[in-house]
Amino acid sequence: MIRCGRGLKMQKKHTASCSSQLARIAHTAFATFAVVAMALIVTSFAAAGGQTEVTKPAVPSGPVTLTWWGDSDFEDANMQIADGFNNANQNITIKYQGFPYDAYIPKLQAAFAARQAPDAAQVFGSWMPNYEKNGLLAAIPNAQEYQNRFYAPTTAGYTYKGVLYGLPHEFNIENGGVLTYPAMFKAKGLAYPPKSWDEIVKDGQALTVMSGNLFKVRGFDFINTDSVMFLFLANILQQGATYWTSDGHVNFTSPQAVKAMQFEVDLINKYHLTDLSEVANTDIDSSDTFFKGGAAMSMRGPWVIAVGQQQYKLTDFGYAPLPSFVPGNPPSFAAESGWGEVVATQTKYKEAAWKFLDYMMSKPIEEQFNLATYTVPADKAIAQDPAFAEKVPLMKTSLNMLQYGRPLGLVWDRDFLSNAIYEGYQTMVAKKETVEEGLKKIQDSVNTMIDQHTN
Amino acid sequence: MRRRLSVGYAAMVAGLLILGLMMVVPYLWMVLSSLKSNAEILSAHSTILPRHPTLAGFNMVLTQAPFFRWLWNSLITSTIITAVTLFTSAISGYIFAKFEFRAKKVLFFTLLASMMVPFAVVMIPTYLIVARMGIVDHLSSIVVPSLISAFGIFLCRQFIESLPRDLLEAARIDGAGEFRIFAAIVVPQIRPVMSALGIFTFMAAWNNYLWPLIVLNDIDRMTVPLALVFFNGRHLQNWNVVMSAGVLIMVPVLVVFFIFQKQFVKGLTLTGLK
Amino acid sequence: MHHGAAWTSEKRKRSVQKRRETRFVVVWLTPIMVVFALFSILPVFWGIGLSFFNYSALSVHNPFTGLANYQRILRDPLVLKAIGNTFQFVLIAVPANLLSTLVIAMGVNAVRSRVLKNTLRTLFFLPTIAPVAGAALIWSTMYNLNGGLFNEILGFLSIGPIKWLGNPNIAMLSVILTTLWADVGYNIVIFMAGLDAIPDVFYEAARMDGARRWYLLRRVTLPLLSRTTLFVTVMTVISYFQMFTQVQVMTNGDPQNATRVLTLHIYTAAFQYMDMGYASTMATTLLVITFVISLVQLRIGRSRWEY
Repeated sequence: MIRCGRGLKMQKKHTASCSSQLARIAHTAFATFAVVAMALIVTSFAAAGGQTEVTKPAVPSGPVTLTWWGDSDFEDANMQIADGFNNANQNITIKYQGFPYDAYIPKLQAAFAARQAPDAAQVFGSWMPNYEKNGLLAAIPNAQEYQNRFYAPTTAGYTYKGVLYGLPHEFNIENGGVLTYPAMFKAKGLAYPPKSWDEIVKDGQALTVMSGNLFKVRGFDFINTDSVMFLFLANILQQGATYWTSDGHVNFTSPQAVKAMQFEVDLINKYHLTDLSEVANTDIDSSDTFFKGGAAMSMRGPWVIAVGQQQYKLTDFGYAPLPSFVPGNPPSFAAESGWGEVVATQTKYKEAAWKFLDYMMSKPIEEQFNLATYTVPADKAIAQDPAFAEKVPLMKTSLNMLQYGRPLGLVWDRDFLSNAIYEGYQTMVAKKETVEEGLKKIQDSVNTMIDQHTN
Repeated sequence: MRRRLSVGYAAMVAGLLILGLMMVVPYLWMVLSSLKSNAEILSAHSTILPRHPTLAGFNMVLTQAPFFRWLWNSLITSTIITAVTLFTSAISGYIFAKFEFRAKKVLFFTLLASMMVPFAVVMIPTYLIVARMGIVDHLSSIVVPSLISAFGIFLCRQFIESLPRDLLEAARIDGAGEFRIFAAIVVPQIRPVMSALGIFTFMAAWNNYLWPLIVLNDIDRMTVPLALVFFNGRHLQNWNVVMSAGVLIMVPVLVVFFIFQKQFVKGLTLTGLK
Repeated sequence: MHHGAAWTSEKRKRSVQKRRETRFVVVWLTPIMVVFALFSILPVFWGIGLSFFNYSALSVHNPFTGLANYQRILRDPLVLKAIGNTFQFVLIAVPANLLSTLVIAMGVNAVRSRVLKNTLRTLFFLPTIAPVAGAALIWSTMYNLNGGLFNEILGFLSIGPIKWLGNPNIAMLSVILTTLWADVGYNIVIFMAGLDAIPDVFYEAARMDGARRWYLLRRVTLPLLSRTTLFVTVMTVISYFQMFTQVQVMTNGDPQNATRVLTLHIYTAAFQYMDMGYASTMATTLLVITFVISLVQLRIGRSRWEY
């Protein structure tokens, strides 16, 4: 008899006869677990569709523990809120956990998908439409009363089909203000602050410092995913037009849109106020460049003020208002909904959760949060309170702008939108396509994305 | 035969040393950065050596995060994962290398294929499975999905394949049981490979941060690499903290590495049959 | 002659032996494969299955879309670019890796002093110990246009600064360099284990025949290293098709999508755009590509065996 495994050649020829018994048993074992695996798959797919079960509202009689997730950026402010609430309420304990922004997004999704969601969560408004569409968030009681308190753009992301599902902490404004070094203006004898875009362009050119082909000081910097998009949208709005069609699609090919984008491309190609060399550098934001002295003017939201003061420990910079593109027209701008609070439909403790949200939205606590996190208030009363403005003098520019803000609109995936515009912008600056071509491409891809979400 | 120190040999050694030292430069950068304050790292005029060395970064990592708790969690999970993976890889590699059965080819290619799917896609399904098992937010959710390593099985198979069949047959004729053959003959032969696999597995388990971040909620259950991202907000970057965390994360792995290195070297010299 | 009796007892011995072997395989391999099935195969099938749906993790209603997602890929220039970038990465990084690690492993192996040998091996392996995200961060600061280590050195040598991550033509190479730094340690260690497993007898025999170093290399070392080389090649190719963290941390696909590899786009689609079905489609495509290439490699490698 030929022995098994004598050598490679023999193995190949005599495998079947030698190990048939072995094979049969192993075959059965394999077949069994294959069947088990497939069964698991089938049942899982079937079960995966069952997310609409509404949890029976339990009436908590004993002490209740609520899990509350938040952004680790706001760790101190959130701990303050949790502690304050816990001290004032013996029956309800808030168990808070903060997560870093990048990981928070997939984590939240996974948790909701597997019915492991926290009771309450601090979330970013723009993420919410998908959650709202799938009934994962609980509708806010007394919605009307809250709607009147807050600026429209702040609640837009938390509203779906007319129902309010969340309450905002902040007005996420990325427009209307520009970081400046007043000393640079003074040194060159330029009027500060600049009162028109013509002045900005001229001042920017005067303040630009080159070293060969590289920028030592950029005249007017705005190269980041937010500013490029919001500058573009604001320009369209200020011309009195809109970028939405009546059927929920975007229109970026109107003459106003072309004019707006052309202007932005000109800022680099015609006026040479900055360039794209830092685009790929993910660990440096345009605000970092500014704080290191690399720019004379840099457009960014007011949150950078806190960075400059606390991280860079600078005191010699200013935050000036950006004028309207069309003199005479108000400086309108688009804003998305920012950080706010929601309650999961899956929670067993709705009453306790509402109590917690009420606490957070009370005026003193809201103000406490805004001050601790250096966020612009969503609450009209706080934003228009002069006492509040005194505590954050550099934020005054933004506070004065809030009235001109308009909701960004239901764009479903705002990261997709900003990436599409940002990438398109780079191609247009590199002259690989004309402004008209580039805008058409952006428009088409964004509309395709919108269709994906609405069918 | 006498071996003379040729110019070629000297040049080669020198070249290797220079290259080797260059490999270490980024580490030095990390260590130096961890000793600077955040403001200094961010300033426009940062120098190579810290101007005002400070332990503020380390302080923040150690006090603002339950670092020692995390160290313990990481140690337990990584050790269990490594021990179990070494065993399952060795025995599976042995079976794939030296036994014949009909499902072998299919199984092996399935093994291979499982390594080719990006984590982003299996993350949610794995999370759903783990949730159904009821172990979300427990350390077992870190351990259980990582017990079998296709890489480890493949690696062991390649090395065990070259073991001569006669050796195993001889033991069988002597009446040794299959498991005994595996434990007493096969395993000692592949010591260097096992050491290498042990180090790789420990490091991978130790440095994994995305999965623990997704599946763990309670801060006391988290593992050490989370410290890397924990202080990173959307806008605020704490560079010195990230660097300090990086240094602290590496220290235990270095220790394990040096321990395993000794085994590695011993294994190389003990290759009896060779 | 007791042919008959001897024959039967040998047969019995062998069937006992076979049963023992079978039991061994079943007892040990089955539980291992079951756990593997649950945590590796099941999620993969699930993930692949999603490519036929318009799936969002949050959705209740996930409509079956058949091959629509696959058709979408063919029409999506960004995905096609991502696939191209991935191939570009693999085609440059894998040969660079294999060549450098083999050469370095052979070099370190030839060092006679044990202390020096171990030191060198440790030095080359150290980069792999750092968490990839941390290493990528450090390298991106070293690549900084102003003040980064590399441009400072270039400035010292009076050479103009290079836009390491800003120039779309160079960015990919910069990411590859970082990857190689963080990665060569593995293959060097494996190659060294493989080199060490080659019995000295072969070298002595060949040298007795008066063989030169080059001959030794071609006829002794490389063939005997072939199993190791095959393993290293297949693993490196698979690993580089999956490469993700460095790109996400260092460039996030920029500039102008020059470094947008497929895995990055998959992650973006899955978690930013919440388009899990589409992400799975891309992942399945990646799986098929990688699988086919690995099969080809294994087939070629198998036919070249000579031991």
